[in-house]
Amino acid sequence: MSHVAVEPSVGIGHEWLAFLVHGKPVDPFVGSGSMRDASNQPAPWQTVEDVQKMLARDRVANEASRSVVSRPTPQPTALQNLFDELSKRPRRSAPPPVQVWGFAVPAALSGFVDPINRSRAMLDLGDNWDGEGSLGYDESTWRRAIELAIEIAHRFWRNRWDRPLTPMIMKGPEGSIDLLWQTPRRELLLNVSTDVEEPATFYGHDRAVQRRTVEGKLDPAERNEWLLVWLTE
Amino acid sequence: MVAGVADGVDGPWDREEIPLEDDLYMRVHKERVADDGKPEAGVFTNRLIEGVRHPMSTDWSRYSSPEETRARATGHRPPLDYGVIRMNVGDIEDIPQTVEHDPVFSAPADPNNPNNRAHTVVRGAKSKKPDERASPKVRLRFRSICSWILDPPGRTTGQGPPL
Repeated sequence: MSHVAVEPSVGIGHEWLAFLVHGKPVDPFVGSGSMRDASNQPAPWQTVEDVQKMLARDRVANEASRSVVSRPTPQPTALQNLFDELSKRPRRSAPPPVQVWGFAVPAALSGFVDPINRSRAMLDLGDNWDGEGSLGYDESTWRRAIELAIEIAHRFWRNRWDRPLTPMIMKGPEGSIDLLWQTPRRELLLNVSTDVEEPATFYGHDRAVQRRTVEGKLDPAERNEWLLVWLTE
Repeated sequence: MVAGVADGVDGPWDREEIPLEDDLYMRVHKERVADDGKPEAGVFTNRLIEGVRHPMSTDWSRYSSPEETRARATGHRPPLDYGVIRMNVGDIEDIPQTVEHDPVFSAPADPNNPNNRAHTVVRGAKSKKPDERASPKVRLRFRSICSWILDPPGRTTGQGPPL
């Protein structure tokens, strides 16, 4: 989604500055982007109607200023163009999340549906399922791993407006679950233990620059979308 | 000392130093193939058996072929349910891990743990807790150095090229 350039001939208020500074355009057709201005108050321009009102106010201000000082008729600004574009689009509410095995997968993360469906098969494996002594997989561990993956991806999407990568959901050692994200440049492995008290552990590396790595433990209750930021930078 | 002469099996065998340029073979069950065609990272770990962790078991290429490695599958799983991966000893030691030749011999032979001159174990070289399961770092590195030498059933891209 592109940023909007501001023409100085349009009277802009504090709210518009916040809109532009944060670089997070509100798309009323996607969902409730809850934008705030620089003073952390809810931004007024949540809908197309809000944009209309503010442009009307700006036009009045321009008319008033022209009556005092002679100025040329302002050309359509990028903001006006944005309003015109938004007005043409059909209005629709945000698509509902997709229900998959009890997970409410946001529509923007629809790529998660197939991996979740395929990974569920591991729950049917009993102990020593591979003849090598491997333990079976508990549903609670599987759920915690997938919830963590969805949470990380959803936060990444909400903050970056960039569709996140979908991890591979794999059978880890001793009943744990592995999540593996890969890009052409980097990969990141995150392991969720069977023990809810144990932090998740992770390691990521850059294929081209071997010394560029991330490694550690994380608390699933904290914000961890930085992992995907690192992976995709 | 030679034992088991009646069945023509020589042993026990001495432990030997494995050259860095040699390979190790390891069985991988067909359910352990990830969506990208590589073995899952969970394959590369110490095995927890009855509460005791055992180092990762492999076969030395000097004394085993990939087919023989696959045929050693026990636990009532058919050998054809497995593929075999190859890993270079030098690459393993760069992870870093320690490779130790550990031939298995008993007379009479144990059907659950057959005699195996090729048997080799891979241990963490600097693990703070020897009984820990392998970290994501170690397992990801193993995954990057391995290649299929016998495809598991369902994987049809052919043998060998490093993944």
